Amino acid sequence: MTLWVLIGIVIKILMIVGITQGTVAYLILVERKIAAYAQDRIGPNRCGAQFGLPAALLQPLADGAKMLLKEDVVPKYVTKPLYILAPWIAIVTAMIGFAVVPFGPVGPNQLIDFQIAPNVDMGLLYVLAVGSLAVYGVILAGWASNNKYAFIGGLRSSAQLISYELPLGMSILGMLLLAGSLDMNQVIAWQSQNAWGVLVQPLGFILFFTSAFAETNRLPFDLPESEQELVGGFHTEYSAMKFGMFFLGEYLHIITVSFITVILFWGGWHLPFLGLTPESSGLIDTLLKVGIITGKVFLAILFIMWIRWTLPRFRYDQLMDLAWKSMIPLALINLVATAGIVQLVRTYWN
Amino acid sequence: MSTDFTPIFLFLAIAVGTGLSMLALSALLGPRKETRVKQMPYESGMDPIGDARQRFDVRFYLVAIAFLLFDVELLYLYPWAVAQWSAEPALAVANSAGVVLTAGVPPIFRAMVFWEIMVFVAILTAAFAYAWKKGVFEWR
Amino acid sequence: MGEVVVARILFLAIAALGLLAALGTVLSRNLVHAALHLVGFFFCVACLFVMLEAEFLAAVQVLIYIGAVAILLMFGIMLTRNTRGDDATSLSGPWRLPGLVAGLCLFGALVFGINNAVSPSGASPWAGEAARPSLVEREGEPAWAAERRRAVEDMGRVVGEEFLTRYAMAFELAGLLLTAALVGAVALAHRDEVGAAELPPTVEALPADSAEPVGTAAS
Repeated sequence: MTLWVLIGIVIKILMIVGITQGTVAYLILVERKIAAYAQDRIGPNRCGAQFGLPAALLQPLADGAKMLLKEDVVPKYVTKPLYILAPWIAIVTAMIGFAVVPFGPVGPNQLIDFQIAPNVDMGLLYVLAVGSLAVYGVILAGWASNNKYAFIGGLRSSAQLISYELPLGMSILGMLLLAGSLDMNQVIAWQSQNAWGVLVQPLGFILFFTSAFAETNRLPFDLPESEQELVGGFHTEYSAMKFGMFFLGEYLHIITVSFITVILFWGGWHLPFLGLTPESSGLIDTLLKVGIITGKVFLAILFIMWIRWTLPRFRYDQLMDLAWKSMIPLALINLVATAGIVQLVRTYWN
Repeated sequence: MSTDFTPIFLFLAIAVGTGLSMLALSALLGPRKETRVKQMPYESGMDPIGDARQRFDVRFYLVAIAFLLFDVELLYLYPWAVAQWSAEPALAVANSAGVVLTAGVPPIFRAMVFWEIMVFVAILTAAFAYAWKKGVFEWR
Repeated sequence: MGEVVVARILFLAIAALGLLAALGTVLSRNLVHAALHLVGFFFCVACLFVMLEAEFLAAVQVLIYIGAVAILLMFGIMLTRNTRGDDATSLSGPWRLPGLVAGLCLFGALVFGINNAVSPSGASPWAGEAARPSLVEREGEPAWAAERRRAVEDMGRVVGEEFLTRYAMAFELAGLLLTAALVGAVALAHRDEVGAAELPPTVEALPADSAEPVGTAAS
């Protein structure tokens, strides 16, 4: 691996970091606008009007500046090293999940590999492994804060995160069995040649998407920070940028799970009737593929935000019941049924 | 030595740096006015009673154990899921380097492996049913 | 040559970090800090697996050891009141000498075992080779290159194939072992309704003026 290759990778990483952070900033604006629309308000509409820009386009800049310029309170009662470590873990684990996510076409004959680490052949396992680290940010924040709300919030949240990791991991097994690979590019290629995952694995898709909501702590699963009972949950004692880092991490997780959903179940860069194949590599085809995959991801994110204003929050026992008594048995049934049907079809049909 | 993971470790380094710079910038730019009340744990304006780090219900621990076991089970199932049909030439797809790899369960073993997996899943379902019956997943 | 030197430096750096983390695990008084040092150590082991081209093992290390076992440890620590550590958790006390002897014995056994390890009869033809085969087939590559490429680049599938054909018995036994572990854990930690008095009281069961909060105030 030469120096130039390394520099190229670093540039790619920096671009992706910049793009995702910028997207997160604007997603917060989108979320506020959707919230306002759902509640029949106007929402943020001032920031940027001075410069003739419409619809609060500069609001994310103002938000970011506010995070940095507010007082960073570190209360006396906290365990200081862990208190500082927790938001840092939250953001680092949220960021490195992108390392194996393909943002567009990847392959030897493509113009560029739209993926930071294209040769890792177990990308999905990597994403799951990094996703399982997110619990640390929550549990450490809750413990280090030395605050009852934070402690209970952190505990509840970590139990929720580990409980929903199981249906999340189980629901993709059917898709892996069909596509026969842990490499996301090959899963997309399989879908482009056969059928989208959502068509062949409808139950798997529903289970995956639901657990993805829980893993990102989105409503209706935002128990850890249920404001009415627990104030802010595990980040009650956090302020300024440290709070902002938890916030950023949460939105980065939303982008990651949207990408995984699109790649596993919505066909990645594939759209019917466009004639895109895994090998097509012209400039127009490349742009189309990147456009389609990001467009689908944006749709998934909008859907996640829309759900927030549609469903009320679960009670904690309902939340755990849903994970252990409904989703895990359903995921097991989905796995056994898929394995059986695939076995029958591929043995006797062909 | 494998260089496939070099980009991931570079990314990790950059992510670590980003996180540190966020912490540092916030500490440098923000004002600092310590007051006695600000240094107290937030408890809705009340004076805190007792230590916040109470012991919690053993149920959380049981859920963590159940999670650990099923996580291990899942990791046994992933290699099976990708290996079961990948030796089929019709299903082979080139990987990111353009190489077609067709490792996987040989066709003659497929039926046997399928039943192996069914037995494996059945054993773990029995464990799951036992835990369910014992009330591990009951939250009052 | 250059790559070997880089690999050696990287290995030494990771191993040194791992040793520091392990020392931190043993020497920290605060149990939460000790658990975090253990997580750091697990991460170093995962890095070493990546260096050894055992990428599947690296993923397993992160997913199981960091993502599940250490979380279980943290939960276990939070079940106890004494997270700060006292003399009972330090290196003093009556168990110091037996602990030292046991540790030295384990170390000796490991050194002996690793030094006298005999490679199994079906050793891979590339044993002892440092060079990695190219991703695509090349002319004039050694005979083992294709097999090794398959093992490294297609690890998930190769692991699955080996699990379910050659090691099928061990695979099923692992399933039984997991079941036994869960049954044991439930039997140890879970009390049926008969023993409900030994559980910490729930919110409803608390006297009105009690200051003892309970973690699972469901709803």
